[in-house]
Amino acid sequence: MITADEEPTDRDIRTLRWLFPPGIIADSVAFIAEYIYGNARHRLALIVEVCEVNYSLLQNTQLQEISAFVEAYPDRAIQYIARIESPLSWYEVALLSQLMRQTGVSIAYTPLLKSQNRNLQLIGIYICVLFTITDAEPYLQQLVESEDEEVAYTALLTLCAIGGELTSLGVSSALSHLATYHRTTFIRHAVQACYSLQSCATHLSDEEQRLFLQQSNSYKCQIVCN
Amino acid sequence: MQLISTLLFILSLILLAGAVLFIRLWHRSRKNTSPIKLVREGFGHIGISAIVEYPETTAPLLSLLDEEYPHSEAIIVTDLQRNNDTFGELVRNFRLTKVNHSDLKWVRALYRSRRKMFRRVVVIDLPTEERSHATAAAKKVASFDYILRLQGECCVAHNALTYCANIIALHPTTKALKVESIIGANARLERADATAGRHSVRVLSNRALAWRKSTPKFLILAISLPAVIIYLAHISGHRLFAVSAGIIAAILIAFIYISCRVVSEKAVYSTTDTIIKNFYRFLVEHIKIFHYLYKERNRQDTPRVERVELLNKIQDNRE
Repeated sequence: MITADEEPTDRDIRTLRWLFPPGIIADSVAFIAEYIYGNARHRLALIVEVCEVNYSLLQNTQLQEISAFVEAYPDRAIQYIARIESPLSWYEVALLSQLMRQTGVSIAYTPLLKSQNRNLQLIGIYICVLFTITDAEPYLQQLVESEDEEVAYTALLTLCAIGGELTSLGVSSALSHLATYHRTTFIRHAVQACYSLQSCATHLSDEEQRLFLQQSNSYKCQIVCN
Repeated sequence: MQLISTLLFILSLILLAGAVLFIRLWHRSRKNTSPIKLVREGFGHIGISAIVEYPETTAPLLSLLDEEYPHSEAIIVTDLQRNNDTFGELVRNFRLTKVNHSDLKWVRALYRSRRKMFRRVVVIDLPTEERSHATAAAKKVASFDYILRLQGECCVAHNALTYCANIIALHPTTKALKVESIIGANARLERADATAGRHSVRVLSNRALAWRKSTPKFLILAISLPAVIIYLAHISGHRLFAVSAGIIAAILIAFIYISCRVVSEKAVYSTTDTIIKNFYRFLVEHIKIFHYLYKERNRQDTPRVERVELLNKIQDNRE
């Protein structure tokens, strides 16, 4: 059993796998993180990967640990994030994207948007909205129909931000599932993105269309013709 | 008199012990409230509209223009006919354009900025008699989903909107949100059109989101109170009374100074309207923080007991 106050070597990890069944290793991972290796928690991620431990055990891990791994191993950050089972919040997605870009890693958004992993989809959506990537529209149209509420909602608003097509069936279906205040939010975003009422009138009720007109009129100057 | 002096001395020692304990806990709370790592580039669809209603100066607007968060705007509601000197100049300097406001009742005029360097500045010209409709009008005009209402002469602290946006992004976007800063003066953030299902999030912050400028006369009043106590103690002739009064006065001055510095990062006297109210808020808010941290520590301690048992189990298996 590793009890020294130092990082485990590869030999230690192989010994662990040989001595203990995976269940015992899985249970002790969290304990090791807390008591033995202190701040060297990015090394813990490698142990977890070698020992094929379920990443859901690290659900209580602070964001600092995930950030430490991303900073230490930026080229493997995506694989690491893909194996996190707990849903990341929008803030965590933004922070991790910021960290990855700070380390100089280039992130391809297409595989992220095509991925089945919710966290990776959110990272892809964040990159699209940050850089206003209009080429991502086909993938966003698919993500708007996602079963995950958060992914569908953020994909819808990102579609607005990049000026995508709002007349599709996917958008109509996504809007129909939204609560009233989220529909009002969508109207606000559509007005800001300079959409006309005709582009999304089919999805909106009469009251919502009136609200849309009211909002868009407040951006326009009064023209007086003599 | 001897009895009163003795009782006062005991009271002052108790207060001193309490003050030392309070300051220790305060330092510990500053360490334990882990500051959130700010994401400054924006969150895409999370935007904040800051509404300032009938300010007397342009200071609140200027503090909002210092804000670096990209998806934010400042909405000033004022009566341009009465404040033409201050805010008429604003319309000219920021090149605000008069826009359509026919759908807004009671609003005399609506101005929006079109110059990128001033990001988004909106001025609503609403008569003072229709003051009660100011918030509703501003919400209709707001471009973003979250409203930060600043009252009166409240100025926003540096990067406050960035901080608010980071807090909002921590929670699921499908939930309506109301954020209240635990330490902050007159800043309240809420979703623009949330109705049912709204829940509040307590933000543990050792930095103020907003502060209000106050005149130094209140500081003079706050210092003069302990000075009067010391003077009365001196003329009374009792040394014990004088020492006790001095200790109490010193504690009062120290806490008033600390509370002012905590609430405002800018200057000692730039706080809320009265020093005493500020001091009271400081005490109450820190008691809430200590209670929260005490509960958090108890919650975190529990899994460690289970992990120690796990270690024993692993060692037993090995044997």
